[in-house]
Amino acid sequence: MKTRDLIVAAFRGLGRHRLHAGLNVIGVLAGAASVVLLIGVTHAIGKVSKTEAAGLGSNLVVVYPAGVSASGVQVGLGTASTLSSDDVRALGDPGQVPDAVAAVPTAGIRSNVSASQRMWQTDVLGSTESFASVRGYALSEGRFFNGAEAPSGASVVVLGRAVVDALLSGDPVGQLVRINNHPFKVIGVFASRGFSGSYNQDDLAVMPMQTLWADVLPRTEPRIDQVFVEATSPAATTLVKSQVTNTLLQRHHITNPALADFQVRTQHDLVASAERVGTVMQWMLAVVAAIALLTGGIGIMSLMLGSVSERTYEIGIRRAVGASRGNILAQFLLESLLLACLGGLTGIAVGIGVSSFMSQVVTDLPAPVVTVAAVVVAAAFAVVIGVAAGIHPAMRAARLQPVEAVRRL
Amino acid sequence: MIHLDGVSKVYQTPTTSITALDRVGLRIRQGDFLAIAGPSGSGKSTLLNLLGCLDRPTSGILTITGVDTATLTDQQRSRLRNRSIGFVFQMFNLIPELTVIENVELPLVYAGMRRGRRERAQDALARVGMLRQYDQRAGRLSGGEQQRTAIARALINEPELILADEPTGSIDAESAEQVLGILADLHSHGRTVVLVTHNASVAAVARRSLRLVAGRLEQEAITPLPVPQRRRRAEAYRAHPVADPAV
Repeated sequence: MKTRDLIVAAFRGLGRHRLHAGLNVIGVLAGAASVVLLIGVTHAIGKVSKTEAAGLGSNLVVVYPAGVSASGVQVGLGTASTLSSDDVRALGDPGQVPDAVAAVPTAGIRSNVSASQRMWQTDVLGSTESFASVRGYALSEGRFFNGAEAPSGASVVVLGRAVVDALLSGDPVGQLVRINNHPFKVIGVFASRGFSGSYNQDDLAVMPMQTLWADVLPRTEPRIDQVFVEATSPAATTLVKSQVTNTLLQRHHITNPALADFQVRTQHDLVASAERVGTVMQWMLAVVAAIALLTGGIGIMSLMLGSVSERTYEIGIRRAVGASRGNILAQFLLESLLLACLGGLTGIAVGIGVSSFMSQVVTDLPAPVVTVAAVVVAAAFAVVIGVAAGIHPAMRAARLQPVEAVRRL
Repeated sequence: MIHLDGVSKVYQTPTTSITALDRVGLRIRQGDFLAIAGPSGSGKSTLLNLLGCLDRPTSGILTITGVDTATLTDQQRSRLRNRSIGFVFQMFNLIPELTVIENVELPLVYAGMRRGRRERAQDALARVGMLRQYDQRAGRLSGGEQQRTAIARALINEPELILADEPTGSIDAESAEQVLGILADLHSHGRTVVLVTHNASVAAVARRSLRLVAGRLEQEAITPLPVPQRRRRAEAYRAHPVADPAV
């Protein structure tokens, strides 16, 4: 039997159950589309978190306050404010952290900033005068607040380019903006840095920490969300990490490092944990996609089994006029494979389509990246599902004795 | 051509065993036209299925053209059915979703033929007067038309052996006459025809008849038509083949 005749026979066979076959194609389609989409999304998220971690600066060590429950279990990063201004001063003290250049605390809140009739929501941060240099922000206009303004709680603010573009026209320096109903004088504008992953580095407003505590944060209790400690070089970050840890353990009177009420991370740690999270997500999503494909496969198998018993008559006729077992096996296997491939190919197309649609419509999330690997994985899954779902029904069809098939007329 | 020696077929059910054929011995020569008569359940169809390699005997030896069929693989049996045997069943056994010509082409498909397939199928259809309906779905034809299509399918590979199982059992008298005429014509062209029927007047078309009773073969119970009469039937078919305006 020629291959072309085999394919024609398989298509004719499927044509008899158009609706049922169509529904099963949709099953595989959903699976394949989700494989493409999910691999794309996890890939994008992984890439974004890695670039975000990388964008931090390679010579920085970040300290997060971490709550510790009575049983010694850490309840998460940044859930309690266990870092004080005195801690920050100690971390910036060359006597205690010899390999640090500076230590900068930050605290922040998402808040509305308004000017004239316009309003913009941005990250409002409080910090000290070393913020710009430690975090690597240059100024395009005006200046950053100085050592005199920082502790006095002056009502001044330095804006990112995105905030200026959204709110102000003309020379921004010297204009007034309102945050939490308090007026602030714009004294400088950061030079544009663009995006780091999904994070727009130009969308922020920075003011002295004292000012943030007094005028913006709803709680009166001074809070520190992070302390950035700048090491003398990228190579020194590991050393600084241990110096910071020892200093804080000592200051917080903690003898068992496992019970520390803070966490210290280098950029390397952040990249590694972003990668770990990415891997875990990828596996979870792969399981979801596999379940979707499996469901499609089971649908195909049930269709094919039904088809074999329904077409016993046809199988008998084909056997009587000369079809071998191999011919029958090939025909039914090909039908199953065609269904799965049809689902797989349309699924891949749908996955690519939805990915590009998502990247156009949802702009504040990382756009899914359609990789060759995702397409290959989805196609391979479809083929495997097609063969796996079809082999049992096809063998059952091939095993039918011609006389049994003809006798059942 | 075909040689059966002590061939039995026993069907096993969970509680009992049924002997459909009991030590049948039979020789069918090349060019023979044999009718096997007998009441329903006497084992006629079982015998025909064995002759057509659709089934295997429980015991005994069945040789076709000198080859013991027990030694053949599935592929060889399929090939034998495809190249050397043409089946005509009582219920026609066409695939209803396929068109007339697609049904007729099926044996050529499994013979691996592509080129000239359509032309050969058209010739076969013309021989049975079915060319005009070539593109109709087989399921929509009348019984007589379906049986003529089935005969065209049985002929297409020019098999040496035609096996007909109650070929007139499901069609009207006029169509039955046409079908028997075609079989007689095939025989007069040198084909070996084995016809199974419970109808004595149908069996009389053949050159010789045997009778199956409860799985055992009995000799010549039916008097065949005199040779001149059989010849006339074939000649009548050749003189007035089934009308087909398209030919």
